[in-house]
Amino acid sequence: MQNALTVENVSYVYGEGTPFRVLALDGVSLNIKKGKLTGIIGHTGSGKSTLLQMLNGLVKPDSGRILVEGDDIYADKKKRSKACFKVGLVFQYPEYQLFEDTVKKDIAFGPKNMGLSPEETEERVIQAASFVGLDGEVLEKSPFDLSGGQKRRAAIAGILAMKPDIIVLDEPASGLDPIGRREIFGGLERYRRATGTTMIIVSHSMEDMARYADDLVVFENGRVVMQGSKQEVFSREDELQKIGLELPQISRLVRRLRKMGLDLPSDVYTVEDAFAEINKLCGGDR
Amino acid sequence: MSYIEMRNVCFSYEDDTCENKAVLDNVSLNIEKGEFVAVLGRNGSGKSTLAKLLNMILTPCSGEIIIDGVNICEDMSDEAMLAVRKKIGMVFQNPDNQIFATIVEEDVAFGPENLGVESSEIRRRVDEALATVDMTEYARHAPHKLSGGQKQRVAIAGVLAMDGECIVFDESTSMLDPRGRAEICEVMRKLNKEKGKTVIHITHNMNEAEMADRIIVIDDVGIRLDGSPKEVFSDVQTLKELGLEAPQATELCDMLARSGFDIGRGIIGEENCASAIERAVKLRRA
Repeated sequence: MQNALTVENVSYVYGEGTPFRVLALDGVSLNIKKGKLTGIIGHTGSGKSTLLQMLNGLVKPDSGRILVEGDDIYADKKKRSKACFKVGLVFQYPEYQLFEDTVKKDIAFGPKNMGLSPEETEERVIQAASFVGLDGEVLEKSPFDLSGGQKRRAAIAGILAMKPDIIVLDEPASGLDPIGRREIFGGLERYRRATGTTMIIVSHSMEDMARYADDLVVFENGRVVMQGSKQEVFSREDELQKIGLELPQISRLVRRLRKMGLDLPSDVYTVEDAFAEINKLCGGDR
Repeated sequence: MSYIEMRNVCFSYEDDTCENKAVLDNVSLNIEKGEFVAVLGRNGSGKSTLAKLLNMILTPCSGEIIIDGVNICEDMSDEAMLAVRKKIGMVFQNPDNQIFATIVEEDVAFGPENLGVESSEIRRRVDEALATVDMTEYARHAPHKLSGGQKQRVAIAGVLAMDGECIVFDESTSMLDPRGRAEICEVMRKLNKEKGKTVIHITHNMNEAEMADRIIVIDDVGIRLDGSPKEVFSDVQTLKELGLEAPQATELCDMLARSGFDIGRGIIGEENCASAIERAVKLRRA
């Protein structure tokens, strides 16, 4: 499997030479597979956000390299400034960054700055907006007249419209109600399936990660403590629990049922799968 | 008479007469002293508005709100108003928006200082409040260096130092990591069960709502469901229509019940769900 992005032995220190020196990243290495959705989990302060900012050229590692498609993005100034077109970064609460007077213009800001023609820009805006479920009259509205969930989706569309090879999102669904969360993740999933774009998502929601991620990376105190497929990482339940991360309730429930003697698989991550497995279990005997 | 009584309350951000765009339309609600109530509802359903009406950050355009026997919608003296605000404390969503002092204990002391409380009494209250939220060892730390969960605990201590009787948590856990959430939930439980405080917890997290004695679900029409977690979560369909969902384990039980398994409704908690499912599977296979 080809890697879209490689992080090689990266370290970073905040406040070097002051009493507040913090080693934010400590020899981090990881591989992000092309076309996959990789979830990054870990507590606040574990180094996730620092790493995210390195991926598109914002923060240069003190040591180590960031390779996008095998190319070191900090090799020279030109490469670094190009990195933000290759890797699109959606910050937490991106709706605070909306600024134009219509949703359409806001989404167009990125592609316009890439030097695309007005026609191409228009096409990309419409396409990106439709992936996140925004169209028609909403595009002509002021972003400030939208609901919280719509604003969030408009902000994400602004990055999709730039068509980066890799999209990185920091807590894209935080603060939203269950339907709002589904709309965000559903839109991203549709986009990924249609375009094959590699995605990296930071989230505190183990439920969302269980449902949507292919691979997982676990951070703790500036280090990567686990990485692998969702199945591999979730199978290490005790270690996750030690660092204060719990499996989704449905997975815990299925594990409990296994311990009670029901012959269910150990890798069940969604309610629908659990339902199907239980039916299978009962159907098999009739 | 209940501790909190809302009678036919209407509120609109658009105009003072509530003729159009009422966020709350004719809402009536009683909350008893010492209750632990979770409030659920989609983004924009009026949950935060409801919270802000309780301590007069907002005033309704019609209807009455009575707090501990005092009608807060009538003209009242400054002292009387202060007395109500002291009783109902609020903890907001963003931990960075409510702490401003440079040292933790000064932040906690801010409320009582402004109430003109005598200094030895302030000392006592601050120490007690910090002990309650388990932050004593951070009394002389700088707040900006704390984790999100710790900051929220400092904010809670600030409310306690005012001698608050009721604490409204307005999505106070939504920006926290899993560890921070667990910390705040534990403090809520302690405040309610050990200190007898009335707790109102606005949340999108169904597992947190399950901890409450009572759950109120609101949407743009008003209060749609009101009952124990067992009662509210037994109505999975209505929850779905309202854009919400039951905890995953409860949802699985509901799906099994609807597909003909002999299993009750409104089963909550992982352990209860597991034993109910085990029983139902055995019955089906027998």
